[in-house]
Amino acid sequence: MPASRRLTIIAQDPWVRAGGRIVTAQVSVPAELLADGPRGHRVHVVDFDASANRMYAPLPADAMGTSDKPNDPFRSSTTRRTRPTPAVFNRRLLEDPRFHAQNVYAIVMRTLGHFERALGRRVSWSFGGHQLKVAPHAFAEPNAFYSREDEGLFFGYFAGPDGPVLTCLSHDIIVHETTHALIDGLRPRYTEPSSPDQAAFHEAFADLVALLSVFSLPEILDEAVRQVPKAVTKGMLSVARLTIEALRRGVLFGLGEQFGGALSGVHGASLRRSVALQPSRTILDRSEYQQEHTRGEVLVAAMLHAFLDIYLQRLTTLGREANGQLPAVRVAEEGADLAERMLTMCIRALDYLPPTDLDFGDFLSAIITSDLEIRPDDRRFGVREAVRRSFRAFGIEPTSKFGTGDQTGRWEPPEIRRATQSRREPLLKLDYSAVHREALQRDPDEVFRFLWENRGVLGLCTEAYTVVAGVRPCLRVEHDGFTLRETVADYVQILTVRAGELDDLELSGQKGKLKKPKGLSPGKTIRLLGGGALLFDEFGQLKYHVRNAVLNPAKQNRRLQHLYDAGFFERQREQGFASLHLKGMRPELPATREADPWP
Amino acid sequence: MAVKPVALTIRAYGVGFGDCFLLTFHYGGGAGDRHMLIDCGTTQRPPKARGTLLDEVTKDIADVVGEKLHVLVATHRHADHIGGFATRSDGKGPGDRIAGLNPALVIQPWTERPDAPRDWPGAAPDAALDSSLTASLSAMPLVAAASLREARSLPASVRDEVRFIAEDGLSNLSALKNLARMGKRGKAAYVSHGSRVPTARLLPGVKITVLGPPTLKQKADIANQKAMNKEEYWHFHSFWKLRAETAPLGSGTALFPRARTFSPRDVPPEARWFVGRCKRVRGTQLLRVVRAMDDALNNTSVILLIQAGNRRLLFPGDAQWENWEYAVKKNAAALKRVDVYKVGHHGSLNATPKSLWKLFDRRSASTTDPDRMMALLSTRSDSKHGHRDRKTEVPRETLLEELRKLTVLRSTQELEQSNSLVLKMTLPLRG
Repeated sequence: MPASRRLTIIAQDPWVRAGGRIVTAQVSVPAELLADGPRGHRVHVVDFDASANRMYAPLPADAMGTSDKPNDPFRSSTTRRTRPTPAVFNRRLLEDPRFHAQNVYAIVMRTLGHFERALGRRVSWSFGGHQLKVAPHAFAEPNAFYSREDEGLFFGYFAGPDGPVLTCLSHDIIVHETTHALIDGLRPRYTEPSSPDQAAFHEAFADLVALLSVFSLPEILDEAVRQVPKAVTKGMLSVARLTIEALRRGVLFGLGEQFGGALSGVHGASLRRSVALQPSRTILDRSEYQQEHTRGEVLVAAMLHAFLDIYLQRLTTLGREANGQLPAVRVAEEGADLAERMLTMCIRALDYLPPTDLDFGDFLSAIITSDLEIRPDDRRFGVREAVRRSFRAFGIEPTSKFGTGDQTGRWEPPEIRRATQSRREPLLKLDYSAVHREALQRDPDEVFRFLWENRGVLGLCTEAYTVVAGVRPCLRVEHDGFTLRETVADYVQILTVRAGELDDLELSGQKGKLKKPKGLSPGKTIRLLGGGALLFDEFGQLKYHVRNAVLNPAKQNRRLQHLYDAGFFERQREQGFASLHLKGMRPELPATREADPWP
Repeated sequence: MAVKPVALTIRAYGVGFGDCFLLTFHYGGGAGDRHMLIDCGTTQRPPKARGTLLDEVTKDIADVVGEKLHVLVATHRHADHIGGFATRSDGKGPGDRIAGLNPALVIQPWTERPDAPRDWPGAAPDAALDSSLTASLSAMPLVAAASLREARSLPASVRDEVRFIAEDGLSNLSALKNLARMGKRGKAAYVSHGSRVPTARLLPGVKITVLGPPTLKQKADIANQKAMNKEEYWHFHSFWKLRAETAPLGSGTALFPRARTFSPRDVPPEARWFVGRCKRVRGTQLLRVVRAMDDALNNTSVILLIQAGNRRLLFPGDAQWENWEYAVKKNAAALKRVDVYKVGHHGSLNATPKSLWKLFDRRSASTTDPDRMMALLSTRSDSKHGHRDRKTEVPRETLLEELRKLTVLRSTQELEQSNSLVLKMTLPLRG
């Protein structure tokens, strides 16, 4: 069986056209023995429309060929004689629901592939099953979302100015929703009520993956570069015409006039705003960026800015060797390659993030550290430096103050603490004597034993409920063939106390005190969350302990105050944060202000 | 000396989940009676009532009123408030009977104005906002009709509630046309907070103050809403407009007429679990949409404070907080001394805001207190609105407990056992 198969998808959405034709791309997905749907080992397309109460016939397995000889049933003919007219070509894509089934299957599988390649292991869905269900025409509603309890992705359709708008044909929307499903499997606690940064992260990361995924198709970057005025003549690009601003504008056009226009009802608008956002070091302090959706746009803008910066540098270097002229096709491929690398870098960072209460600075430290581990030499692209610079321009500094030069902002090696504050006291060392190194790479109970034996050194809260959420051995492979074996485990600590007890909690080794938000009833039950990611090297030695301590006063006080200000403790009964976040109506339901309903 | 009513008879008709109140003011010295009808409709009849209930009710109204109905109020366009004004082609419908009583004045909310003059005193700071609200309201029946159609294939857990609320939001076109016609023949008043209603000659000695709905300009005047108002209304408009335009796409073969489909019975076994989830997800979505629509229309309710002699009666239709907020801020003093409160929205959890409830000075736990407030509730047992386990049932039990404790509670549920048509109370008026 070949390792992969190629399938036709719509490159961005039906509004991005070249010569009147919808821009399509052929993408690689793992080859597998498909059943009708398509239905594979990780994705099952069920084309049921709940509004019309009917199911469209699935794309038959026969049409997809055999495992040895896979077929792309919607591949367009390239010979002039048999090539359909743009109108026929477009109609075939837009009016055949079986193509839509292929489109969602291929894009979800490609996104899953990005995650699995970047992380060097299988990535599970959060609901325990193996096959994510996808409904490409789920309902007549301007909405698309992931639902954990329904084990699926739902793509709605709605009326647009020129006919129905099908969200299942927008590449970025499909990747966005698939990413929600994937983060939910990797970091299920990121939907817990926490800081504005954490609330923004789910949306922002999904947008980030969507944007880089679209850019990793040369067809789209080709369109973007051609939009830069006077840059491309006779297939050659003049590098001197390029600036970050010109590229940014080109990207906006390359994504289509309608990108964020007709789709503004769903989610395109926020991605479009991110692209247009100008750097400012105080942007995150502004009141309009305290809200989770707008705040997320800043993170996306920072990464996009870094991408354009590196892209431009790279083209300038290459152009210097070729008298300032480069083939436009090569320019697009270079950009697509860079997007793919940056996408891999962002996904890898997930393993280096604390499992609870993250903020944007944590993400930056995680990017720097994970990239450093697998790509120690960054001279060719200067990615880390560009990312650090761009994040700083948007007011995001790495959480870690460790490292210098190229390594600035990387996570520290594991904390080795003294038993008391006295400097004369000897350092405590991690004790591996009670654990089996081999079991430490796969067994949650063994990792818990390691945590328990070293709870003092690792600074765990003994009173809290502690659970090891997962242990995953990884084999990461970089583009140049460099390999890295590591094991990622993560644990969560939960401490339930009354608000009145906060001031009296004993915080060993932590500076400051926990404070009850002023006005909060002392009898109110508070759930403090903490946890850490443990990264072991191939010999079972702990390399990093990336954590948010359950009794970290600075972080917990900020979190509690934020939740109190946002009225969370009054609404606690509803506990609808996760479902609202991921299943919100778009545009959201008009708010109805209510006062004092009868409980 | 000015003519004043000496007594007031309130008739609360047992329409189940709906409202129908006839107020008869008795004038002494041979001056006769004057009548005011507030709403007439139902969406869930009382358990033992027949399908001809609204005919029976309107016949009774006609018998009481005789030839002249002085004032007719249609608080808002929901079927459970105006269904009884629908006419029939044979001219014998309940609405035909009401039209036969030649109402002299027809009061409706400003949102029902057939022609909105651009320069009317209540115009919003941005003129387009007025029309965006009315356009949203007129888009809602399309969404209601589509929701009703979709409800047929929803799981039982949500089907009945979606259907029940959506039915209420249908256009009720016949009733609306009849109301406009009656208004044209007599006099029509499309009112907002503070509107003066020309009732001095029709109901002498009775003062009627309009407390709601507020205009958009009035809502914008409440300090904390200034900034958000415009965006909020545009958002509101785009939400309903998009859904109304999308509604036809979801019916049958509209999306891909040539595609091969399976009937729901032929769904392959491996897809059945997920098809069930799709339906459940859709049901939850639709429930949110129809509830939002229900809230929006409820908030167009006319709120009337009626003063006759020493009594103050408060009839708020189904107003919720968005509507109440302005009156609670501007008319707190007048609201303190209410003697008779028609419980909002059949006793739902959010139509009697606690900040309003706390204003009422005449709440009293003493059953011998002669000034103890009366609460009038028009509702039915086991209504399809809301769920007890989600604490959204109508009427809401916690509100009922409070009403029983602090008011003389009279509910049309009292009629369910006896199968009587009307609950009748006469109050003497002094001063």
